[in-house]
Amino acid sequence: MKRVQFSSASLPYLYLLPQLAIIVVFFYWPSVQAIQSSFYLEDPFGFGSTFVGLDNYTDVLESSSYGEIARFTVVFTLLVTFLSLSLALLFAVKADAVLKGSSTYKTLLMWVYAIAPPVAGLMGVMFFDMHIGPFLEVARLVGWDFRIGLNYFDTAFAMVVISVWKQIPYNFIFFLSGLQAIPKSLREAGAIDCRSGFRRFWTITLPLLAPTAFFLLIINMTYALFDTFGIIDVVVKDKAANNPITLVYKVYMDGFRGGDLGGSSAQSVILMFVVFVLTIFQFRFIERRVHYN
Amino acid sequence: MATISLETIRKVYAGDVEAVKGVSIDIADGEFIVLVGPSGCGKSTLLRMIAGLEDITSGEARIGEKVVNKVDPADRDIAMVFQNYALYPHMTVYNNLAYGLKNRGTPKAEIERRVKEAARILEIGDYLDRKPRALSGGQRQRVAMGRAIVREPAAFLFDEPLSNLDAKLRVQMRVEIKRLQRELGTTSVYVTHDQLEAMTLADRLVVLNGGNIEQIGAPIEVYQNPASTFVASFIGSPAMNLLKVTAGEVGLALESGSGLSGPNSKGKDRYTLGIRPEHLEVSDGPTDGDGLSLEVTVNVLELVGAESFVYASFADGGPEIVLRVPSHARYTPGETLHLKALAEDVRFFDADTGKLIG
Amino acid sequence: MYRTRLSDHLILILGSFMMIGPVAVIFLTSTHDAVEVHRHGLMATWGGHFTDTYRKVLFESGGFTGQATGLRMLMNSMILGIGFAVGKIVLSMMAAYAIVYFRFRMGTFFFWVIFTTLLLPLEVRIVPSYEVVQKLGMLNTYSGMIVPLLASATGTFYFRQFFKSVPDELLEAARIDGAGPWKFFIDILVPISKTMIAAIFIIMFVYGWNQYLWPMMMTSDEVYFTLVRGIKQILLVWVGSQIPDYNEAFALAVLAMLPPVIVVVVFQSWFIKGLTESDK
Ligand SMILES: Nc1ncnc2c1ncn2[C@@H]1O[C@H](COP(=O)(O)OP(=O)(O)OP(=O)(O)O)[C@@H](O)[C@H]1O
Ligand SMILES: [Mg+2]
Repeated sequence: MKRVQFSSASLPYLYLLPQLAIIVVFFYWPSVQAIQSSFYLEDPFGFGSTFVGLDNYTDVLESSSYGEIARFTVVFTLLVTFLSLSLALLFAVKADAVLKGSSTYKTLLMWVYAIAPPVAGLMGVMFFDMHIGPFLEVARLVGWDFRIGLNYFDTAFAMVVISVWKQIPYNFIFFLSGLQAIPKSLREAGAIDCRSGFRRFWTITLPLLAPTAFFLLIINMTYALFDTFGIIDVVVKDKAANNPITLVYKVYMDGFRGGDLGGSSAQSVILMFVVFVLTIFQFRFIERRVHYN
Repeated sequence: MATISLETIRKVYAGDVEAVKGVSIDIADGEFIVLVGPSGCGKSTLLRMIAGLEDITSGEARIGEKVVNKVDPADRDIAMVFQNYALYPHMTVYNNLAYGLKNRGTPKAEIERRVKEAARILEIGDYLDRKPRALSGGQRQRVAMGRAIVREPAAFLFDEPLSNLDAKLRVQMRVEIKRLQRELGTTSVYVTHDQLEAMTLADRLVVLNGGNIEQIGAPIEVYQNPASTFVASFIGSPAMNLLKVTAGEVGLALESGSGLSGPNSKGKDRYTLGIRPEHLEVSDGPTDGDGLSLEVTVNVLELVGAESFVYASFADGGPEIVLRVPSHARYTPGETLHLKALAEDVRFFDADTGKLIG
Repeated sequence: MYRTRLSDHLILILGSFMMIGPVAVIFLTSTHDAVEVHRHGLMATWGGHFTDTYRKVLFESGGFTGQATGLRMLMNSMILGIGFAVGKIVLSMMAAYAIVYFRFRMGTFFFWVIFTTLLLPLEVRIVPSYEVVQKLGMLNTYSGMIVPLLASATGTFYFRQFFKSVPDELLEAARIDGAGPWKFFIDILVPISKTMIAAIFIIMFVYGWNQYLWPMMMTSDEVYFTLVRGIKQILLVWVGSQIPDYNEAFALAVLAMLPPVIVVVVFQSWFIKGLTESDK
């Protein structure tokens, strides 16, 4: 790390202790518990639990509802990632291109970052609301009888729109600073070599933005998988009945509302695995990027 | 004030890099020692071991009478000036100078007196309230010096303190450092890879190569009698001409076949012959006697102002040689020159070990 | 070079409108009274009930038991946001300091123990986390709300990156100047990390303030409700009511977004720097 370091028998441990203690108690303990209880069947009335091996996993993986939710989660994740990335990229490229008002646009396009997902969810729900929402009128114009909370597709549509809206600012910030980090001389060289602005974007700007985009890809997938919880919760209002939900929401529903601790834990572990893979990707990538620079 | 003595100091870094291989030096009180050598030869490592920033793998370091191998840097009574100055960016110049004194519990009034005094000597009195960010490179350098002198330490350690300055400032600060050190009389160890800096500053030069000392001596001594071909080519610019020769029946022969006449090394028939560029003189024709005499073809004439350098080579290839000529001299490429030098200016080095013979 | 075209501005104006429009409408609607909203839907005009509604939301109790006023929730959100940010900064700076500036056995081991937490967000271990907090008797406490959120390495990662970029010579100079580990930390490292600390404070404050799932799970006592948590309560109260108090709900939503938005907009440059330069 550093060429010269302090050497002390106790100090480093002392500095690490608070962080470590919290991590052990509130990270490792619950994580181990999740893994452990995924192999047990909890008695619903609290009379102990029995070891059932991989039953919870097979139950989860074989249940048709889980498959359906997993499928929705994948579609939801891909849609949210793709839409929020492309819109943010569009805005970032434009905000980078204009000479006047660039910093005003920047502020206007990024500030929504600060809004909590459930607050965004509440606002969105009101826009799609069947009594007071203005979106209904628009939908009616094209003959769409929009019914949030009742119609599966309509609810999913609202969820995607709200989630994308909430995530655009984050991506915008990264794309814009990525664009601004491209040296001016490179752009000038590009301008000399290539007349078509569109081609220039594809052949010069975009490849240079690729590291940022890849980083954001992973972050957005994590966002769609986990951070959208607040949005989904507000949209479905605890009535998952006919509504689309994501895997994380199911973990919460089964573990909290349903009291199926074993099943919920097995789902947690499956999700842990998914995040694990995503994060490994991210780490490897960050390492590579460090190399390049 | 103190002497510093190093006794077969070694440094082995993790991963078996032996950066310093048993170095011994005795530095007198008030002496200005310059460690010089090419990049990676272990200069910084040696200096940092004196400072206490690196552990000493084996050997013994003493400052004054005290063995300091296990002493914390703060307790060695040394001050160090870093290449990037390492000023505390969030402190004013005054606090940068005062910080070390405060940590030692120096009374406030005394701190103030010393800071003011250092500021006066270095002419940084006007900037005491500024942050380093608001200073020019030269001013920062002075602050770094100031931080060292307020401490009134037993020794100053410098690690390439001037290499971040432009050429003009470097010369100016070089003179100033020398003056300061004279005035304060503080024992100093100074690291540089710039041989000109080394020559002008040092009371004694220590030439390092690959973790070993090649030569210790007064600059002029090192210049005139380099202990090895390494030192010969490192000290002096342009470097000493080195010609690998074999003594034959008549005169000497280069590997490429060209012949020249010159003095014989006692008892060896293969050796390296060294001659400084300023000792070569253009003559009208081949010369006799025991001096050096050779014939070369001019490649390039390099005008540097007060003088010029002529780069020339032998008829059938071989090493290029350099000679120093007055700036009014004009030679054209392709021209043949007869060169001569006095026997006493020629140095001989062992063909295999590169060590000075005689 | 590239010339700005009208379409560029058009797209940007459209985008800005897309970001601001909904929030503006929600704010404007919150100034109307509930009946009007129920009758006419969301409003894009100023309603004139601004002071009434916001005074009511801030100072009168709502919810199930009538214990949580808006002001109380605002305070709780502040405690969560600031407590989380400060806790995060203190813990992670110390941990990063140990990792970067000390040579000690098990250093690498602890590094991995801490950095593994980046792998699993709280959401996937939410149920067992709840049980742990329950076992420790920390349900319905501020510490129970804040401390489990601190069990991740994000801040440590930031500070580690930053400390590694600090020139080695600074420590060396300080050691020669007689600074020990604690003095170096307080006198040198903390002051030169100021902007970094500010940036991380902003990011963490927003993150803490916006927490939803965790506070929702571990606070059943309305005294501990935060504004964001209050959103859930609004929706629960609405179920079955004739004319929901849209205006009050929106006022609460506006209050819930106001502080983090102000912080992010005012300290924009620090915030963006902190976000983009530390690679999460
Ligand atoms: N921390 C370290 N770990 C391992 N090897 C090191 C370390 N520091 C230096 N070295 C090696 O030790 C040798 C001497 O390094 P040192 O820094 O003393 O060289 P130097 O003479 O100061 O060179 P320069 O003129 O480039 O500063 C080099 O080969 C270097 O690669
Ligand atoms: Mg060096």
